[in-house]
Amino acid sequence: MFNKDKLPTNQIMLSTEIFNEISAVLKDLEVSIRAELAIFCETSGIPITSAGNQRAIDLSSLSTLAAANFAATAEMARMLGEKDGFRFLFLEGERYNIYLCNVGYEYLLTIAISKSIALGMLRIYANRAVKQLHEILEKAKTQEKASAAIFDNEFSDLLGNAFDASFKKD
Amino acid sequence: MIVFINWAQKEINLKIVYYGPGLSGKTTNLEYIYSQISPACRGELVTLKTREERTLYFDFLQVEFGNIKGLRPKFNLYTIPGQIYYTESRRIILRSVDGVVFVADSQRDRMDDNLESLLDLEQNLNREDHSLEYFPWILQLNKQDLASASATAELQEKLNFLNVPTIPAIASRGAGVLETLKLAIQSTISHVHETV
Repeated sequence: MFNKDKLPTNQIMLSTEIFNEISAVLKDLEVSIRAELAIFCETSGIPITSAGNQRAIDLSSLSTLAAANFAATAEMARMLGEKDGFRFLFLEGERYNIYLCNVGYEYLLTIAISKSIALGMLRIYANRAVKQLHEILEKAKTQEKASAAIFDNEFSDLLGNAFDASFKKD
Repeated sequence: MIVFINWAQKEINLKIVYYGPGLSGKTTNLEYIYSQISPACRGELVTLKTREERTLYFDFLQVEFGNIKGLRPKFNLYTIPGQIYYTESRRIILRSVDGVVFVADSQRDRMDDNLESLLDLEQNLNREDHSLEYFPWILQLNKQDLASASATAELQEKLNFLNVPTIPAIASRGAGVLETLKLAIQSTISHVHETV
């Protein structure tokens, strides 16, 4: 049924140029509407970049939870027959609100923001950021993909050594 | 499978999912890894459990192993909730998966649960256009210390019909846990090398 050669293995590549452009969009959210934290991540929760006050927050854990939250919402939409899913997810807290929305099929934008910012205003700026991110990501698609030659036996051996060195010795 | 490379930060991110029936020891694997790895190489261990200590949605742990040929490989480890009724959660967690560790419960009376979970894994991989036959996965035979555990040869015969790498384990004592992770990482990297 399956042919190994035909299995889809996609690469998401982010060049430094694209990364900087994405970071600038997030920085703009921080400055324009005083977002406490803005995180751009891939849909399974891998954080790509962020702006704002990160304090001691573990960004990987936070964006993984955000992604899982959004994925669960998407499944709820599917079960209810909402073809395009829900546009955004809004969580209301005592001091901060959190706004989650997808950027195309592969990315998510998470914004933590003071309660003093009205949802309407937040949505306007978030929509603008999503549009800008879309344009940047479209441009990224045309960039050349990297070779996987780097993941050769030498890479695997070096990784194995680094693995052993990372654990406590009994 | 999505290989995610961030050249600006010189990172490659890979996702490894610990699959298997309920109470087979998936969370125990992650807890042991978390307890043994240098704090500089890990993030927080995120666990979403019910009051009965069962995994409700998933556990998550990110580990990384320094700079390898100019790249920082990061491995995002997830467990799935094993109970039958969390099907949707398992499908969500399996999205963009790069490698799987199947944690089997070696106890004789859990064989049907192991097989059912393995079938469930295959069906969910199919939804991602993958198949166990061509996907990097490792079989961990956990709870080998229990008197009711089947012999590894018997477990191999019943569960390892695709002849994948197998590690006997006692995750509660850490036996076999790091070997499993290392093997899963190497299988995943090697698969990336072959298919990208």
